[in-house]
Amino acid sequence: MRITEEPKTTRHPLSILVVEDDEPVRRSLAGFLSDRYETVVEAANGKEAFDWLCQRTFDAAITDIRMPHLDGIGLLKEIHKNYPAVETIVVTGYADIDTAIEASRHRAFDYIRKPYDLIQVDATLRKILAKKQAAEQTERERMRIVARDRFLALGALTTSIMHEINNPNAVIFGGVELIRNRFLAPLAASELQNEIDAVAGYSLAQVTRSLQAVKKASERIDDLVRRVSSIAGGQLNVPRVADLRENVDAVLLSLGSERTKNILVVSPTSGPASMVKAYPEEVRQVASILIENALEAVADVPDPSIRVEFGTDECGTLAIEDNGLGDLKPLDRIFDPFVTTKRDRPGRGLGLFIVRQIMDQLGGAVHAEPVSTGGLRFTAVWPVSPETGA
Amino acid sequence: MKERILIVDDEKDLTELLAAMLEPLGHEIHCAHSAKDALAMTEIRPYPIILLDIRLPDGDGTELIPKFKSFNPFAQIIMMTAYTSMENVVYCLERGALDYFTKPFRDTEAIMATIQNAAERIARWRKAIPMFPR
Repeated sequence: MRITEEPKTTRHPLSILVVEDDEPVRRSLAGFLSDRYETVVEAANGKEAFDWLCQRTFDAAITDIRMPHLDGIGLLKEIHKNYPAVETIVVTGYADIDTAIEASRHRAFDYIRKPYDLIQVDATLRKILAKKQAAEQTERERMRIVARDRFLALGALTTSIMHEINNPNAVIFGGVELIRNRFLAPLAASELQNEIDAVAGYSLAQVTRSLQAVKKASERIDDLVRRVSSIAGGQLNVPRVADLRENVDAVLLSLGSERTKNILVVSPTSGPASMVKAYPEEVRQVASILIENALEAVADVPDPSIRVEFGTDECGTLAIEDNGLGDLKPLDRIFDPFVTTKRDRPGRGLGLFIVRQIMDQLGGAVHAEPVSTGGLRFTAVWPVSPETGA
Repeated sequence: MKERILIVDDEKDLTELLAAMLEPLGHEIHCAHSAKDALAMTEIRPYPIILLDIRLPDGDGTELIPKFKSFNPFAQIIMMTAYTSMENVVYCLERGALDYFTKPFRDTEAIMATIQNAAERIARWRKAIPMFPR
């Protein structure tokens, strides 16, 4: 049992378990691999391999079939059941079809004949490496989307809560001001003051003081609402008007030139300004979700292309079309929560739900349709602001 | 001078407070809690002074300004809103609003003074213009 683990920058980031009972063969294979991959661990039989699997995390296991103490198939079963992330390469001197079928039943990544063709082993490991890196990329992307959706949802929720708090607080604040200025102050200045104090059992000064405390508390609520709202980025009680084109451009710019290199923007060269009845954040949220969905849909197609089209007619329309692999099946349900269009790259299914929510709320509409290129076309129709053409 | 004042805000407690604040000044106060109600009430008889919230459950208060003005071009419209920025104030003033206050009202006296000024202006016009809308 040997472990080779030396840092060397040129080696690929893969952790490999080599299981082979023939020591010279194992040594040479491990030696070859340890020049190319970061971590190579040797095991002389299935039992030793099992012990290693308990101790460390591997990306791949290369296993012989005929071995003492837990053979290759037994080890495959164990890995398939308990370590599904470990990709397996099965090696055997007996190139029989039954072994191959048995190995594939336990989800072996590849099947290699003895004697070892080192180039073939290396090529297979490269495939495993590519698969692992793609999975990591997908996971990073998914986490980013989850974080973004959560942030958007939280921001919208916070803004509406702050609005609900602000309204009653305005009543408290205004009421206190009215009582103080128009009632207590004139009374305190009048000659009736001593009589009132005697009847009420409290002096006007004391009542004024307690009202001052209520006003201070109300001011604190106001400060809190303002601070939280500015963090959440929410807008309360501002005119709902935004330039569609300008805000979509801002989203494209924020994505960076590398991610937007396959995006074609189509817009009428002349025509009215695209002022729509929506908050700028609402336009940016909808555009950003639709564009990022399109980017995901085309991630795996050979000639990715996305069209971002602005309507030529009077109403504010924004269409985003991709030639990707978005799932068409639940076309009537894709705007429902937790329904995802992403075949292999799971999202949380909240993006399009948020889009529908926003468009409904502002009195617009959004729909999806399949297009001849195999992708999807999303069209968002915005209510037009009276600003248009002004 | 007694004037008819319309207060438009979906927060009933706030319209109640403003009514209590302005009635003692001698005005006749009416409240509406939606854009639809506000327009319906204005159609029956236009108001010379209107206190108007920007975010209403069924619409944007700023869009009501030209409608109120079409019923009574002399209407003095005072906007109320939660937050303020220069753009918002300019937006409302450009559409013909007279003044702009943020909620909570830091200065209730200033609101009352604005209402009184508006009422005095209306009274002056009423005297000078025989055909002034009733």
